[in-house]
Amino acid sequence: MRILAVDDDEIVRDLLVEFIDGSEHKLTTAPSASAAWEMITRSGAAPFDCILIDIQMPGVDGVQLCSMIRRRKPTGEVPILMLTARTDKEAVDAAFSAGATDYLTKPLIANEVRARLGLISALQDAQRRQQNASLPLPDRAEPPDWDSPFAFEEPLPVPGIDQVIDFVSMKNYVAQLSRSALFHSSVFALSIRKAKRFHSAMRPFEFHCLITDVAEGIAETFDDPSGFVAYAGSGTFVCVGETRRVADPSALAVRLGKVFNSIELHFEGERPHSVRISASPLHRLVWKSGRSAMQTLYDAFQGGLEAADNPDTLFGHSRLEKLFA
Amino acid sequence: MKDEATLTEGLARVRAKFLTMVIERRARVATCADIARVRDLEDATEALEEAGHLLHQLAGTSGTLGFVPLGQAARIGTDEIRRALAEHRQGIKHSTPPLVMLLDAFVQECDAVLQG
Repeated sequence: MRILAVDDDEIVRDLLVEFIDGSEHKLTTAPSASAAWEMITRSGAAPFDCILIDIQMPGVDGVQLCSMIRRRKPTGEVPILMLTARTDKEAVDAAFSAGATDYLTKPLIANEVRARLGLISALQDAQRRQQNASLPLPDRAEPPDWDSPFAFEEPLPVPGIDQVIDFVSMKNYVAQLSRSALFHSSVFALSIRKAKRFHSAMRPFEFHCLITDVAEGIAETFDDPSGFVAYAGSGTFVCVGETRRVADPSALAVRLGKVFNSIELHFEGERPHSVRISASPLHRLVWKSGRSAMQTLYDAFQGGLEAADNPDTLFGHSRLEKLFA
Repeated sequence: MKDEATLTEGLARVRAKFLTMVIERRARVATCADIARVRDLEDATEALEEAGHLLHQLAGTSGTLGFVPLGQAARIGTDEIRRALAEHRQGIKHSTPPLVMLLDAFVQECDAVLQG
């Protein structure tokens, strides 16, 4: 991969050169956000496959740079790893709100840095294979063709909505929450009833619009301004927030029902269908971390599918479970 | 990817450069501590912000290069300075002596590393 690392600390830049640069990856470094922005936007420059950004830098900080990259169409989709010595929820939330894909805490460890880059590289390979198999994931910044078919179970990105992040980022966010943040946090899922039927009957573009509309509705009615929502596929959104603010997912589903009451979908000349949302029970993340936190996210997802009475998916349980690995 | 021997050699170079920087940063943090020692928080904000930034940088790299106690001292100092300055901006009163003690502890850790 072609990687750009942005950090105002010369020692961190030197360490990253030692850890990363070699036959597998080509690393370029920048000492500030403005220098990085110049490299990213320089006309004719080859695009970076991954960008590592320190959060705390003088001038334009890493979170601001991350937002700028996400808003710029040609680079909006690039995986971004935030680097920081901070692990508090405020810093983690700010990074993921700005569109970070993942989060690496300092002190940096060579094997961990390489492993995270390996995961990103594998993810990109998988996306390329999927595109070659004519089942492209819609591009976050510039959808190549929203009418290309995608599987019902595919976790689509839903760009441009506050508090809505992509599914990979959601998994990384939950994995990065500190013990104290986990203590106060819960997850739940909201699932569109008859989503599979909508997916079968609608054009891909229409289904994508439906997902975007529902995501917008959830973001507007969500009770926690610091919480996050991601579309996990299968007509289901996974949500994470502070337990005291998101204690009643069913009440949220009822409020969403009122929002969507006026929306009717028409397809194939059938009678109109209204959008209805079901909620999973609340799952607390307290005492959980790593794999068990991910299992809890999956349990919430399954709870959403069950609440919405969605039929078995094409993927089957084991493949769905893999999405949360 | 670099093999283990090449990586070790590269890290030794970075470590030597880091130690040179510790000398310079130790001096700057000691100066900031001296300013904060004789002023109240309102007048020492700039010095504490500078010290916080220097400590933040060392907190991020010391552990990777094997200087774990120095990294811990830097991290504690960074967190406390950030918290005190944030609360000060919200009108919560803080005094400088506890922060100066943390900066002094960091300077002592630098001395231990440089002598070690």
